[in-house]
Amino acid sequence: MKSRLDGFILIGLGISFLLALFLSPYASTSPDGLEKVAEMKGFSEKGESWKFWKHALLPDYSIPWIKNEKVSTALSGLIGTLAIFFIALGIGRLIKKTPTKKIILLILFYSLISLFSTSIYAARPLTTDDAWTVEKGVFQSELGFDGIRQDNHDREYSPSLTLSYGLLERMDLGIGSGYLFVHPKEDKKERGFSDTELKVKYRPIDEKDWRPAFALTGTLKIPTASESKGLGSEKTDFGINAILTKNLGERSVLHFNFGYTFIGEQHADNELKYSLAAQFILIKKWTLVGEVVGGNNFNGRHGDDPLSCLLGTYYPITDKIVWDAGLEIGMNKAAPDFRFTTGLTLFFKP
Amino acid sequence: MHIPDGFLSHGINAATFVISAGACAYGVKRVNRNFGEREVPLMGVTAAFIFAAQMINFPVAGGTSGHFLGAVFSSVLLGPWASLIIMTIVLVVQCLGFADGGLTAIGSNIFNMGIVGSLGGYSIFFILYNLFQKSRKGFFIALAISSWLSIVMGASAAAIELAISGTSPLKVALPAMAGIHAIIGIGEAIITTTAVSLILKTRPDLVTSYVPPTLPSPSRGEGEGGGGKEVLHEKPS
Repeated sequence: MKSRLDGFILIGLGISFLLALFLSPYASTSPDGLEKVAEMKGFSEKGESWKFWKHALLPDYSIPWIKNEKVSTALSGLIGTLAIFFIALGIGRLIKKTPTKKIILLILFYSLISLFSTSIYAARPLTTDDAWTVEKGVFQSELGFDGIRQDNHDREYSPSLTLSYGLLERMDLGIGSGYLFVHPKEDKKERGFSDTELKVKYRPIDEKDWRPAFALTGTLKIPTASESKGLGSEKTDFGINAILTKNLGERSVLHFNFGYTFIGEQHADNELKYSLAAQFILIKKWTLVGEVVGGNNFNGRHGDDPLSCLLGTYYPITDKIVWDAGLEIGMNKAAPDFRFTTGLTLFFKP
Repeated sequence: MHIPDGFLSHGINAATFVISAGACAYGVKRVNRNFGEREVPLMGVTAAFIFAAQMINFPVAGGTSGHFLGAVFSSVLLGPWASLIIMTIVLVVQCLGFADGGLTAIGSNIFNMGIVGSLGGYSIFFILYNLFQKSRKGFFIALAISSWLSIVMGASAAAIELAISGTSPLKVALPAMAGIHAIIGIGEAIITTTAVSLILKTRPDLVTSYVPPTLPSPSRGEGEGGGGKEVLHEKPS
């Protein structure tokens, strides 16, 4: 039965390809039902091209750089048919194998992406914050993936999602959380939600002449991670952070952070954190970023004070979507050996 | 009937997006329950066939064109919930990859073609098929009527959304949309019945919704799958 089915799949695919290749170029180019009604009833001019359309892979079923219309349509149809087959196959596999709950989470996760936008710039992949706030009325979403190797070669993987909203001209609100996969070298693997962070940022001073922009953030850590699994402390932390941002010329920006966190866990020391970051526009849209991050918990043991540096880059794929990646290297034992991070920052306006 | 950006209000976009996302989430749950090793590749081929066939606009009266939708076709093969997932995949790829149908209108397009087209179309098929007491003739009559109706109902849903959005009053949009799509729907009915009858002839086991009159077995909506393969036999030559 299985082999016969395979034969059917091949025949079915073959016929779909033939349709796309040989019939689609000769399809009627008249307006379709809805377009016709829009024309007749005079609302066709209301339709707008979504700005992203310029960036659609094969706009209007054509390959932009192939001049011959028929060839262009036929090839884009072929590519589309093949792509759909694999996408549907992949989703089918996913549905078959994965518990429903996870799929619903995935759908929710990705449906966040399918909204639209206006533009600004992102702080990822830096851990250093910038003094800029999300534009009023705009949502900013960061999807990130981190892979960490600790000094003892334990590994951690963590996808994360944050959502920020520009509440006022100079103030934004954000919430972020993630999921942690801890793979210790010896011990048993653990996984679960990480802590959730709520953040308010306010910028009382804008940048002017020699004066840097100044912003303050308040961060509240809500203990959503499980202590028994070793993923969190199950205590609430509160932190404040002072941020200075200064543009140097047209191509580079410096950020300085100085923050203090009150750790809720008993017997744990409060933490001071400082960092300095620089962004440099390399060519066109490519920007290089780097930072040094240090901490101090005032317990007199210098070995506990982490110090690390990060090198990374970001690239705006469109003016609503920014891709980034970075590699952080721990400079001492208190900081993880390596941390690789990559993510997308999306801007959208409801 | 892919609605572009700008025709619908944000309220309608958001409301249909939520409904469609909810229906898809539930659809995944239903499909998850019944999907086996066979259905996955069949789902892939059905989606690929629907995508390719949707590219082929055929001319209808008065300088208008229409194309195959495939909502009832895939429902009859794989069940309505799998069909909803297939339509969603096709619509999302058409929108993101080919700039066909608006991004902000994606919820409405899934609603019109997936929820109204697949779920609504299949419900009508199911009712009619049972009314005809599951005879072979009844199967094809139910198939033709429900696939025709899936187009007309989807277009009417689009007209209602346009009216609520204030783009075109209902008494203007509804007759116009339903009227044109009543003609396009004939093409849908012809393609659907031809394709399904071809599959039925070669691989009756792939048409889940069809119950052979001689075998008194219960009809099931989902589970066993069917694909677009044989369908295709007619076209290439």
